[in-house]
Amino acid sequence: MSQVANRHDALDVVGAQWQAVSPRLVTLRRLSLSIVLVPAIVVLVIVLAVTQMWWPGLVAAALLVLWLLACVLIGRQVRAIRYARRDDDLVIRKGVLARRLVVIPYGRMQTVDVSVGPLERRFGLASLQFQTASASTNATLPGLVATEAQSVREELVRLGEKRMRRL
Amino acid sequence: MTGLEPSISDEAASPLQWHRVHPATPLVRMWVALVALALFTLREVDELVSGGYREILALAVSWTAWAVLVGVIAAILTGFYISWRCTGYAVDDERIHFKQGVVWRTERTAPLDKIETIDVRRPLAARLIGLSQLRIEVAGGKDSYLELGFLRLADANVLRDELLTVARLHDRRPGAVTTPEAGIAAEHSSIPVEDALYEPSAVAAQHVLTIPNSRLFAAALLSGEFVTSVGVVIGGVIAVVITGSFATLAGVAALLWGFGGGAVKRFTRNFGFVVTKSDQGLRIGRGLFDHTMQSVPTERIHAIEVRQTVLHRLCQWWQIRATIAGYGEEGDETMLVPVATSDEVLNFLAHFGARWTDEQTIALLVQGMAGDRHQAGDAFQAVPQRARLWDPLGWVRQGHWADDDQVWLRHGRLQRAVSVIELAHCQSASVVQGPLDRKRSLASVEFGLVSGPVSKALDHLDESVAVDLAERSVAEDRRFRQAATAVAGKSGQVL
Repeated sequence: MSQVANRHDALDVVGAQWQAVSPRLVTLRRLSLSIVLVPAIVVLVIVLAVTQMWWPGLVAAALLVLWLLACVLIGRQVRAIRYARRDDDLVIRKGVLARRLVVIPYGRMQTVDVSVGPLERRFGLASLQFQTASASTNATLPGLVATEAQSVREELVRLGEKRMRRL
Repeated sequence: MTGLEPSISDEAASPLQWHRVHPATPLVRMWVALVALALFTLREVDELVSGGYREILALAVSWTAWAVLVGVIAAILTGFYISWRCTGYAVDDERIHFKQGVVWRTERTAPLDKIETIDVRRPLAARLIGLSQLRIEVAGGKDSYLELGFLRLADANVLRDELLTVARLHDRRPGAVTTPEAGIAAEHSSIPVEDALYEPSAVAAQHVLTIPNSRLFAAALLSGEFVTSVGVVIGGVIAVVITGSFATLAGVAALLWGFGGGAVKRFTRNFGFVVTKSDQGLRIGRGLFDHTMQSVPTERIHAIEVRQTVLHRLCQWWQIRATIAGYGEEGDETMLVPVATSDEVLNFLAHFGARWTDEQTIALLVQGMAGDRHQAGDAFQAVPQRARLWDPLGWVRQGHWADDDQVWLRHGRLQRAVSVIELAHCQSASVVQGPLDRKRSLASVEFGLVSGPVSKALDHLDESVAVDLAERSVAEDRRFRQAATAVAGKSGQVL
């Protein structure tokens, strides 16, 4: 897992060795978007060709622009996902436009789940889901290499059990 | 991880000593159905005898009618008896168990060390015959509670006291300690759980606060619900005058039922509001028809908020709400004080522990309730000047104060509020920065609390201050564990 250089950044925290998620997540997300959008565009173009009406063409063009834009944004979005395992807590950062930083002490994690969707399995990726007693900070960390996700989960559960604390 | 688990009945492994509930329990549970049945029967008989005097006489002397009546009553009583025999509770070293049901048997257990609060509830029917029910809230989701009943009020109180005492002892065991201090205390106190059960319960309770019913009534009149009801009535009258038809009245009645009912409930539920304090924490009694006596150990309170609605501002009244695991967002239980003067608020909070009586905290509270950034000597760190554009109204009050154990958040210009979050109960923290905030180097911070009514976020802070606040909650966790490890090291235990 590559380490991301720490540039000056307001939402940075002390002692965090930021790690990026797998770049394969970019391809995965672009693919899962395209699965929906590309057939829609194709159908609209066919409708345009057959009926000669103007509006399917307009919608198709709009969708095409949206698709290209989203593909670019997905790249930035995935690169913005980082996490760091500090001595006592896990820190997760996300978001390009609206940025979010979540700090969860290991002892507060009630469950750590690994989830693998059908597409994720193809890409050898997995997501980690963390739950605390507080619903407002339940976090998901997508795009981990499957083996990495397992080992991170085991490590977190081990650390959590040692530090588990009453609500 | 929920607090409640379906228990596997391996009674051979550890025989539980089951106790019976009060024999009238099925009656109290089923009284609504019984009344319905009686009414239905009466109506049928009434229809049957509408022929006249002769038929009534015939029915009254007919053996069949009496036999059926006796049969039905006997069947109901037998059902009640069987149901009663199948209901019971048991307490062992680790858990409390409650079983119920004849055909569909259910058994709930709750770990004693996860007990948060215990309410003694007396629904009207039970109250009339002197019975009550325990509602035990356990750390976990919304449904993680155990309702045990019915018992005689005195028995319920004894059981409540026992359970709270045991829960507290569990709290102090190393490995389940709440605070480093509690952990150190565990070294010295070595009362076994069994002995504690037989200790004379609850030291004489100390009176904290009584709210006059007249004020509760006035507060209900000054509630949003009541004002809306008045609006609805006025609107209805105008509609009738203009249209000349009474058709709109149905809608008016429905609205009135909703809003007016809300205002009435506000009054009846808080009627006779009394707070006392014992060594087991706060005890809050309330209710005109259904009476509830809540027991809330102060160390189980995750956060409180002192707030004031716009209407109550006219009378300078405040309310206090608390976030407590198990109670959830909206329940009446979260209302620690429904309507009080600011002096009463200060006096109430003085019972929360030593730090609430020192001058600095009191000054902080006063500034949190009524102060703003322009006041001289404001201890709150206000949000930066550049936040004004994004929050032109609230900006004046927005601010925070923090030390190692607590974070105070002050907000609300019209509806003033100050919340106090105990970092020892904070599960996590997050910082969010939207595009607008980012333009001005601002950010919001949110503390991860269990679900509850207390506001736990503050917007438009300086971005580095927001991150610093988020880190505080984690720093508290780190300090707690270092202290706990030190204690464990001294006594040679592994935590």
